[in-house]
Amino acid sequence: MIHKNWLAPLAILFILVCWQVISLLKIFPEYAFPSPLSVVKSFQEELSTARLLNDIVASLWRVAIGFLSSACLAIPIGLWLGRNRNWNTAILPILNFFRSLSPLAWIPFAILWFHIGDKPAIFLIFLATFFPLTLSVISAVATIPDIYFRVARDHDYNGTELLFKVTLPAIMPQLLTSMRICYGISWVVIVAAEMVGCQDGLGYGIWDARNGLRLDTAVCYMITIGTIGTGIDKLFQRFTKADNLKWGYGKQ
Amino acid sequence: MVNNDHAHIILENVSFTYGNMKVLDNITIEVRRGERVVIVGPSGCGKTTLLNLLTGYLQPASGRVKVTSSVRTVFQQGGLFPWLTVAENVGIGLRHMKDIVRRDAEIQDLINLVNLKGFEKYYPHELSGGMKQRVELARVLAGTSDIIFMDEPFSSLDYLSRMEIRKELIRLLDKRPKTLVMVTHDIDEAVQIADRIIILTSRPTSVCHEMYVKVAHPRHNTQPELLEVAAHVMEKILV
Repeated sequence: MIHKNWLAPLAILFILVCWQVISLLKIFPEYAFPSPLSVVKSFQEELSTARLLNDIVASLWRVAIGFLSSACLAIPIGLWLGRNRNWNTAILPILNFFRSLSPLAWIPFAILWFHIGDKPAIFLIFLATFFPLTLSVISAVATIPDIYFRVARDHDYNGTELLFKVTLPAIMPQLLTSMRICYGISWVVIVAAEMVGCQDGLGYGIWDARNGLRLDTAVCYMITIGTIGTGIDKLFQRFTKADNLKWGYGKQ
Repeated sequence: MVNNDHAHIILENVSFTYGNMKVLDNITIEVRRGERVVIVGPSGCGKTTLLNLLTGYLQPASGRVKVTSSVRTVFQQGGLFPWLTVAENVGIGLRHMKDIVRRDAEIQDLINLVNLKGFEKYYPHELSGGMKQRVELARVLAGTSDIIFMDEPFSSLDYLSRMEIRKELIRLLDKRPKTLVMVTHDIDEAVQIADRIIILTSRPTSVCHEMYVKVAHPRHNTQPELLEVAAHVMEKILV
């Protein structure tokens, strides 16, 4: 029996072998289906010029700013709407409308409004995460069992104490899950956002590689994006293991 | 008309309606300081509504509700905060105490009192149903409030835990006397705990009978006197 720690590495190894076999079979020409070896070479190339590192930093920065500013607005608005039925009824359809628009539909506006550089990408990340995060905070607040508020009332919790000692802890597990999902969304959107209006970043890297017909470099960027995304997700997952949050996640 | 304004809790000619439906009809109840009153009645008769009026969660359509002291409530669904440990949950009623050493000592005292020593750092989801209810008891005993309301507090427990925790409640109330108002549909529970049992009719609910249970503690539910009281209560409810 294989130890469970080996299962994921073995699956990755299997994919690598399949990749190598397909490239040896030459189903697609080399330039359209780079072999693992050529990708390793392009990794070396990118690392030696420090371009990859620069692109990673640029993308992480944009995602962080876009995501954080969206969270800073979405969480308070969600908390407020979740406890105010009338405002919620008024605003919910608008939030749902914008939520169902792909953030990529905003690309023309992003460029016209913010021109080039970090701003359009940050704006797109913001739009991609703000609506789903707000909606999920609203639903998290609305589904807090009434009993917690009654206990709080019994013990004279009011105002900010009620917010920070009852409401926020009560939604924290769901909030963390939503933030984890939204961070995933922003990491997906950044690639598309950087394909226009940017001169660096992981998305730009892929675009640039495509223009130069260097798909080995594109694959090397894709692997980087996937690896960082997984790493950050792991980081979020670690928060869910905190003692005062475990109650919200059932058995893991 | 209730004349005794020294009573700890007064409900005077209280009525309550949900929409067009009259739930409570002209109820008058008076509870003295330190008294343990259990209110029983058929399912759906408005026992919880009555308790919600007492806590101020609902307002009566007519009549007067007067509760002269601060109150702690044990709810049917269990109201422990899942993000706090046992000690933190017990301590929420003491959080304004300035002297932290004294506060911690008081929390520890209460935890010892409900026999949960060693479980201070556990979270509610790590405890059994009976243990959670003990934490709730410790929490309502904490602090200076001297009225406890209980809404079917033990209905989710199994038979043995229920027997156990009733005895526990009596023991705790002997050590830290408080006025108790409990609503339940469980007649055994009522006769084991109550100084006085108030029996409600079905909707629109009014008080149909009340009786004092003059049997010394510890009470066992097989005692002939208690069985007699239980039979009497049953008879009144079924009428």
